Parts: sequence; structure tokens; C-alpha cells
Amino acid sequence: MSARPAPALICAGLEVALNRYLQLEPAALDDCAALARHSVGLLVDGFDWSLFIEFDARGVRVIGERPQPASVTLAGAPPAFAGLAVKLASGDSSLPPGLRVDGDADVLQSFRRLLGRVGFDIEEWIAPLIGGAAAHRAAQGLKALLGWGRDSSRTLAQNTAEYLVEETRDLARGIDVEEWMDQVDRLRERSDRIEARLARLERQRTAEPRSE
Amino acid sequence: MSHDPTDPKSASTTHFGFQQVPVAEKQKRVAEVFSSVARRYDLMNDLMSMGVHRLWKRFVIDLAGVRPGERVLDVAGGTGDLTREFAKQVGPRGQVVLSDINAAMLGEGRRRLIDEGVVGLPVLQANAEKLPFADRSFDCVTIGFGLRNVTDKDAALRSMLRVLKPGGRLLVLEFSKPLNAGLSKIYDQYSFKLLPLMGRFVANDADSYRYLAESIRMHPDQGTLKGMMEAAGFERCQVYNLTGGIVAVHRGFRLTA
Repeated sequence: MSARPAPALICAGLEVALNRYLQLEPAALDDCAALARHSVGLLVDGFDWSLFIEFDARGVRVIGERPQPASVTLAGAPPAFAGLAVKLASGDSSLPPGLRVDGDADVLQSFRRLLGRVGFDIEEWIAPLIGGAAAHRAAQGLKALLGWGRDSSRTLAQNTAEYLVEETRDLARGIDVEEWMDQVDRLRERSDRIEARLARLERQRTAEPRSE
Repeated sequence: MSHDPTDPKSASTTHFGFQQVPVAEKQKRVAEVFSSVARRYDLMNDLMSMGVHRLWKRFVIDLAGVRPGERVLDVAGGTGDLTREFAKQVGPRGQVVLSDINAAMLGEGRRRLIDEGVVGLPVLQANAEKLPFADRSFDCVTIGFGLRNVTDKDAALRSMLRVLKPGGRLLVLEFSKPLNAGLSKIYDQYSFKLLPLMGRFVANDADSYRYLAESIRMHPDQGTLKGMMEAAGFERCQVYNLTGGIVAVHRGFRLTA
């Protein structure tokens, strides 16, 4: 691996975050113990950093270098890793586009399942810090804020698409594209028929002198 | 006190700040320093580091990742800052042991822990070089701002490795070498001019605080200490520089049984 070890403080931050996340589900530590002989490598394109996640019964440790290669390596740009983190936090253990996998896919699958099974409840997490009632209000507020963000993004995407289709005509409408594709199909069928007819006429023409 | 750190060391002497002293004498002189500063140790820590030592210790606590039910040993635990937090984390099923070679510091630590409602944990006067515990008895061992005062650091590292369970970790929080030359110059001025002055006015003891500054300079730098940990048998050793390398946390694991 030609990447250089990620800064120690980045490793420490990821390790503390992962272990705090895993603490939310005590059974997750059993899964960590089961993965004790394996490791997951992360290669961050752009920064050219390597990180290794190792497992034991206490959780995970994240280090910048290790003597042996990782069981499985995930490589990609920072946005792809951010996408993975967001998916895992929302309970979705699928891989986002832009990540390359090299090595034992079973280990990766186990790691994703391990992270995916931890239910993340923001209210439960912040209640010890600010109290149950305040945590409930804060969690509701955060959900509303996230919901507003999601709705706004969706509306923005729809409005942009409409503008490009209806106003500037840079993009074709779906119905026009389908009609165009139907016409292409019809044209292809007709040209096939013409080609078949020409072939038949050609055969007839070459056959006639022999019948004379 | 001599300020020449380049004096050749002989086999029978070791450094005490910038001075060379007989090995047998260092422990006694370090004990005198800490007996002298014990009563105002926390106040001086806050003044000297402008409160940042609390962030350094917070980082160690987070990185240690102590879980409920674990056994933790705080070596050279002094006034018990780390012990107090670990006691919360291990809960009633776990145990934290506070140890220090200096009785005055230990007494101060025990008094503070009781004042803060942390009772019932073992407090033990022990030399880090010869820890009086069974092999493989702790999940985590920490030593915060203590290793530089130990006479035989290699022996202390081996002793801490011995008491760790397989999979257990050691965290060393200690002053180290600033990574930037500019910061290093400012830090030198601060350490050798301002620190003894603060020691004189606040703790009425300039010499002890001059020793603290000198002992920091004589302590192995990040790479050397990492090598010492690996030589002692620790694996996956990693260095975490804090505040530009003024302080570093070294972490290593005992992976083999």
C-alpha cells in the first residue's frame, strides 16, 4: 500500500466515535469479538491516507499503519466515506457508489452488519447530558430541521429539473425521450425489413440465370 | 543547579533535571520535589497550562475507552484527576486503583477523591518500576505526567506491560518535544523564566518548578519513547501529539498472552 498513515488524531477521533457508537448496542461487542482476527483498511483518495480498523472484545481500535495487510480494504474519496457514514447512521448497511472493495467481502459484510444493527437514537444519547424533557424537544427540533432540509433539497432538485426541461430546453422531457426511442425502434424494424427484402431480391437475381 | 544537559552519563548516575545524580539518589530528590509541591499541585497545573491540562487528560480518558466492569490502574496518579473519571466509567462492577510513589501526592489525591464523593477505591503507594500486582490483572494502565520522574523508565514500561491483560492498553501522557521550532523557542522562554517565577509566587518554591521544566527537557522525545515501548513488548504503538507536541500521548497494547 503506497498511502501514508493518516494523522494520529484523525485515527483517534474515528476510534472514539466508533466505540461510542458501538456502546449503544451491547451485543455489538460480541460481533467485534467475533471479528478479532480480522481488520478493515480504509484508503482515502485525495489525502492519500491509510487507516486500519482492528477489532477486539472491547470494541475497535483505529491505527494508521499495521504490520500485516488488512483483511479487506475500502478505497474512495472522502465524500464516498461520508456517504457510507450517513447510510450506516440511518440503519442502511448498503455501500454508496464511489467506494472500491478489495479483499474478503465477508469481513466487510460482517462489519457493515455490525454497524447497521446499532440503533442510533439521538434522544437517548443526549438525555443524560441535558435531561429527558429537553432531549425530547431537541430531538424533535433536529428531526424537523432535517425533514425541512430533506424537503427543501427535494423541491430544489425538482424545480431545477423543471427549469432545465421546460424553460431552457437543455434537457428533454421523459415523454419526448420515450417517443423518440419508439421512433428509433420503428426505424430499426423498417431498416431490418428493407435489408431482408434486399437480401431476398439479391438471392432471386442470382438464382434467375441458373433457371434459364 | 547545573544547566548543562550534555554532561556524559556514567552507568551509576542518572539525570535529575539537568544535573547528574547517583541513581540511588534520584528517587529521594524527586520525592522531595513532589512532597514540596503536593499541596498546590492542582492550582499550579491550572496556572502553568492555563487550564489546558484538563483537555489533555480528557483526550486520554476518551482514547482509553474504558468500559463498565474493567480494571484500571492509574500509575503516578497524583491528585487523582484520571482516577476520578475512570471510576465513573468502570461503574460498580469494575475497579480503579490509584497508585503513586509519593505519599504526600497520594494523600492529596485521596483527600480530593473523598471530597468529590469518590470513595472505596484502593489507593496504593507503589514504585512504577516494581508494581505490586499479579501478572495480567488490568485492562488499562495509565501514567499521566509521571514517567519522566521515574528513574528506570524501561523497567517501569516492562512492569506496566506485565500487569496488563492480553488485549489491554497502556496510555502515557507526558510532556514531549514541540514539533515547531518557533513554538519550541517560546516554550523554552516560558519554561525557564516564567515557570520558576510562578512557582516562587504561588507555591513559594522556584527550585521545584525549575526541576519540572528541566525534567521535561530531559524526557525522551516522541520517537524515542515509542521505541522504548516497542522494546518493552508493546504492540500497535501510536503517538498522539497535542498542542503542537508540547504534550504527547503514547498508546500501546499487550496483544500476546
